[in-house]
Amino acid sequence: MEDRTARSSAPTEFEEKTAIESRQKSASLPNWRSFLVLLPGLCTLVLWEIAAWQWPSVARLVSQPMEIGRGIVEVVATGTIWPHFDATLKEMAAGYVIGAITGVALGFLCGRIKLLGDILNPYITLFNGIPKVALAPVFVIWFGIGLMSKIAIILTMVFFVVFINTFAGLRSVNEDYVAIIRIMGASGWQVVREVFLPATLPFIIVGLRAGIPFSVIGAVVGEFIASTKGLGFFINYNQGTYDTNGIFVGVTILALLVVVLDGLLSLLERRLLKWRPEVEAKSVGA
Amino acid sequence: MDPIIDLTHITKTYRSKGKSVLALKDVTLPVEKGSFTTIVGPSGCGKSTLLKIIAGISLPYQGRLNYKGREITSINTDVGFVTQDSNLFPWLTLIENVELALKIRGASKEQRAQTAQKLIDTMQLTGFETHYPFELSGGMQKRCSIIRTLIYDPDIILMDEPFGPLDAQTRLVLQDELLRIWDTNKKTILFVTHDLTEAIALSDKVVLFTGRPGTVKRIFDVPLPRPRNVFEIHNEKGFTDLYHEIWSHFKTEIKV
Repeated sequence: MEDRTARSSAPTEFEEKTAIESRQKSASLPNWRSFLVLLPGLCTLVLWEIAAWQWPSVARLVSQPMEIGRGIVEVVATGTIWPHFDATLKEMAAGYVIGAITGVALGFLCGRIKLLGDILNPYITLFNGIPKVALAPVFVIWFGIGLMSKIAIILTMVFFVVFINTFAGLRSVNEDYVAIIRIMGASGWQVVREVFLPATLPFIIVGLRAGIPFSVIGAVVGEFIASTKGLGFFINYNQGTYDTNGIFVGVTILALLVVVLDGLLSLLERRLLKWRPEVEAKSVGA
Repeated sequence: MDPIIDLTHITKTYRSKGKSVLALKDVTLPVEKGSFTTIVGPSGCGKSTLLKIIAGISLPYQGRLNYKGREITSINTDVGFVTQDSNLFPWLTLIENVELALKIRGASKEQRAQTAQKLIDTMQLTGFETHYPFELSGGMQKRCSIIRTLIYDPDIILMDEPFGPLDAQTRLVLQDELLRIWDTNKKTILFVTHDLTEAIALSDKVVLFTGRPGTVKRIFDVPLPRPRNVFEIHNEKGFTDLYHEIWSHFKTEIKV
């Protein structure tokens, strides 16, 4: 008697399953769609270039794509960009890593220890409301014009976005999961490893991704205020000499850096979060 | 037979929006080892709360809860809990979900995989081991959530409206499969539902709860022979009379 019914239910479930698979397939961009994505960008570059040929004032104000490209090749080939690139990357790496680790750690503590979270939450909201770039001059006074002040700025910016996302993630963990695994006999540490960590991971990754542009902003602002090298210094220097093209060379390199770093994180995200039907990149707070 | 759970005068109040709410009042109910007992009652009558108390995740309570001769004062890891939503961990594949309890209890990798595979096969989930929950239908998720509880061999399985969210056909199929499993390993099952037909089809005893605060209104024996055919249960001799008898008491508890 069990036989016939179990069989009769199987096909419908199978159909559902294949429907899901085909949905997943259509989600990945076929070639003509990636072309459509590139189209607005290409059009802008072409129009920009033509406009710059037509009206010299345009070229003076916003340079032109070919010139910027030539400038990038030049600074890379002559190696003049490397000390700047190197300085900015080091600042970003140190500030980002420290900010991310403290953000995740404190987010976990505040998210799981309810009292601590309730006490600290209003203060964190308050500090998060302060535009962190406004603190940059203070950090320069405290830590000098070298690496340390930039690390401090970046760290502060990255910390908040990672912290707030981690905290939100922990507060949204389905309590049923916790009850189920506790009934299975899980210890406190096992609950953290098997439920809290994986459940919070999507939120942490959103925070980490949002932190990348912040780390670039922090580095550039810090270098604008006081520095002797770095991509922000490079841009600022070219501003001093009215070299618009030089500014755009620096800006383009920064933009490419963000794109590459974000791409790396999104690869990591896809690897770690393959259990999710769709990956949405939303950030809370900033 | 000795009751495996003996509830006497269980009363539970909890605080909600600053007010204290009486969820259960003076519940006395013995549950015999190896029996299939179903609790029915109107929504919000505290049926689920009672299961949570037995599992030790809704503490404290007043009254006495004797579980195999001991009082429940913390998480009760001798029970299995099947919730209304499947609540599979979305970051684990089907087989990882099934293995989870054994992993927590420190079983070896081979033992875990072997035990899990056997259960997966009996539930006709073979071939879907490495799928994530979002890739499974509701019925498959529910099967998985049942076997992830069976895998650690709990003395008693608490089921909180497990088939509630399923469509009518899948529901019947799963009721049938549940009875099959129960027939072979004779676990004690305490099952909560608000579907009277489901209650009669599955159980030895139907416990009718009053509206909030919930308490036992009456206990009905279900004398229908086993093994039962859940697909034709309404044609079974005695079903209709029993249904009407329980319903006549049930409907007075439902406030429209």
